[in-house]
Amino acid sequence: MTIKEFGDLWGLAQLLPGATICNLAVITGYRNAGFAGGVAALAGMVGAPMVVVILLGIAYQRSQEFALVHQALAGMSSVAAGLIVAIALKLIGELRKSWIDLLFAATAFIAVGLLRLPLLLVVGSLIPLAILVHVWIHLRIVNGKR
Amino acid sequence: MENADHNIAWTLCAHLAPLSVMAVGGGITILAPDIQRFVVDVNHWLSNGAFLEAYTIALVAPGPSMLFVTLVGWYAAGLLGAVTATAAILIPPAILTMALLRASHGRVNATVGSIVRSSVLPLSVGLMLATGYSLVRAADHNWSSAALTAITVAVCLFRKPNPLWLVGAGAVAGMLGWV
Repeated sequence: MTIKEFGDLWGLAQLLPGATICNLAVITGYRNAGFAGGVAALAGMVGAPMVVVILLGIAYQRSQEFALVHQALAGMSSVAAGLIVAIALKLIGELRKSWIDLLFAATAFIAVGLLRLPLLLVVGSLIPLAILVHVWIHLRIVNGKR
Repeated sequence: MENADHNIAWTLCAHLAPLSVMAVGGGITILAPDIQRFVVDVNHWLSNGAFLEAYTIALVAPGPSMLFVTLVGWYAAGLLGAVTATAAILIPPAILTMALLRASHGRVNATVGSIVRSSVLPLSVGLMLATGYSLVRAADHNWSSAALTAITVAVCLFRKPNPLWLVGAGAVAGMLGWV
């Protein structure tokens, strides 16, 4: 595989729903060995980490009587929350050129974050709408060029 | 008891499978608020604290951080819950990926790709912010923990630190009793 090919596959993995890294594993496995390859690559990607994460969970539960462990996790959780907020803010910065995109982002945030509506409902209705709007924008640009 | 675990595991699985294909824009993280809503608020299988634990432990563990889903399943319904929850979040996108490769040999029309990308990005940004907001609400109970979150945000916006260092610093701050 060339670097260019890898870049294209990464783009595809990101475009598809699900975790990018898992999609990339599936794509690589499938290209090399078909369906079985895709399944094997995915299993290889998550199998061992799954066991580790469960063991860590058990270890944490067993050590909860130690206040220090509990306090450490509380501190880590506050940082973890900050990491996600920071990613979101950086991404909002990228959207600021388009008020339509900001409107879609704000709607998704309000519906899921503040109103706590089911995500299936929110994304299921916003995706078709967003695609319609972006097809319309695309057609306007194409027609404008002519 | 065994039977209750069975029911929880399959109910969780049925909720996660359709949700998995809503994880647009690259990550499972954006599903966190809805998973929290379902397992904590609606079904009371986990406390808010346990959900947050699962998220944080998976973040620092090696491997994809989406494995918080495994721990949520584990806390809700034991080993069966862990396995079915993980499978539910992984398998639908994997099938979709392979179906697309089969149909198109991995080549997506550039125009279609760019329209889908630009449609999906704003939604994933809004959902990422919703995830951040949900985590803040679960994690920060006092001024000092809110300050730790705020410092993290500021450092990330102005520097590019390795997130694991920040999480490590958070652990130390917690152990010193600052949070």
